[in-house]
Amino acid sequence: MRLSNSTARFGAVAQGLHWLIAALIIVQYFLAELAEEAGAARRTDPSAALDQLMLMARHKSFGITILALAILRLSWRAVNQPPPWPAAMPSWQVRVARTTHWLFYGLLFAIPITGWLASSAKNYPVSWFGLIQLPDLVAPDKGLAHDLEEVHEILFNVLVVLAAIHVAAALKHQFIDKDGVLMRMVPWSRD
Amino acid sequence: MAALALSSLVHAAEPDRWEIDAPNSTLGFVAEQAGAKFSGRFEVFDAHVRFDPQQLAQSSAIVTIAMSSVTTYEDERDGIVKGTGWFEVDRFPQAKFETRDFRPAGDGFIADGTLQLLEGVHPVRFEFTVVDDGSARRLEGHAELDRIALGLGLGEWEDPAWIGRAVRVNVVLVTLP
Repeated sequence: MRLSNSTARFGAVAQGLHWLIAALIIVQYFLAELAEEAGAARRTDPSAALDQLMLMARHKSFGITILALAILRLSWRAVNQPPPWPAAMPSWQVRVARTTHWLFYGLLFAIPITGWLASSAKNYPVSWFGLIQLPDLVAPDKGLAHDLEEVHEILFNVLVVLAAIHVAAALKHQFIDKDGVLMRMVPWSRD
Repeated sequence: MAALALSSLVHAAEPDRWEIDAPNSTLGFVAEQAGAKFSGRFEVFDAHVRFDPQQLAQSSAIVTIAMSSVTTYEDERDGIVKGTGWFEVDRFPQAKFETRDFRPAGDGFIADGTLQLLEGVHPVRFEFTVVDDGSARRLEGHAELDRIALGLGLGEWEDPAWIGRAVRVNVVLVTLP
């Protein structure tokens, strides 16, 4: 597979970033859920507090990784056009697809950044895998921390809805339209 | 009589007690968790300072800290740090730093003293500078502590990869003009 996109399919870089980010987002969901469970378990088990700290530290490190990959992904896209939509695709579908993709890109920035903001407001600064400490974006503020956590979660829920639309559309292209759109993002498909 | 005269003489030689401007004075710290430094402070403390750069031998400082006044600006963490294994504020409501051993160092001074914390007494070195603008004095200083040596967060919290050993205490004392 070539590195850059062709008119027929996405290249290795775009595909790699797409699937890596998708996998990391799934990991993020489970880390956040486990951290929340550990937080709830603290009432009966004091050692759960350390588990919560470890899980949240990983969640933040992966979140910053996603933010970095999103920057890389948009930069790559800027210099390397994605393959065009199938000519037979109705214009309203193209509009929906475009909107969905740009909302995705926006969320790939907005979700990590609101998480980073919430960490700063909570006075739990972010360290990337214990190697680099990131600067705080805002001063400690309990009310703001709570609101930012809410926004962070709501944006994630929006991402889940978009992902459902995205997957449903990909399957429709594959099995109903049979136009090969899904295969453009699949590593094992032939050029 | 002679003893009394001598004691009043020594007493007279002691520097005046600083009148601390409490709202503008801070006792803060920087600790580390999960590889990230964060700050906190003690909101209530009493600094009994008799310090004069010209009278180092007669100078003294006693700082009493109300341990339950600790804040890291996050309720859950504050609950942990006030609880068992850490400050245990119910059993140990106060900590005390005390020094009478001052010497000049660079632009400022070094005070070697003791910190009474939980059940232990630990040697602590405090480095500071004093600026006197004629009306008020401003002391800024710090001490580097090792939380494991102080008996803080032993057991499950001991791993320094998650909770760093080094804690830096930052002090700002301002006197009323």
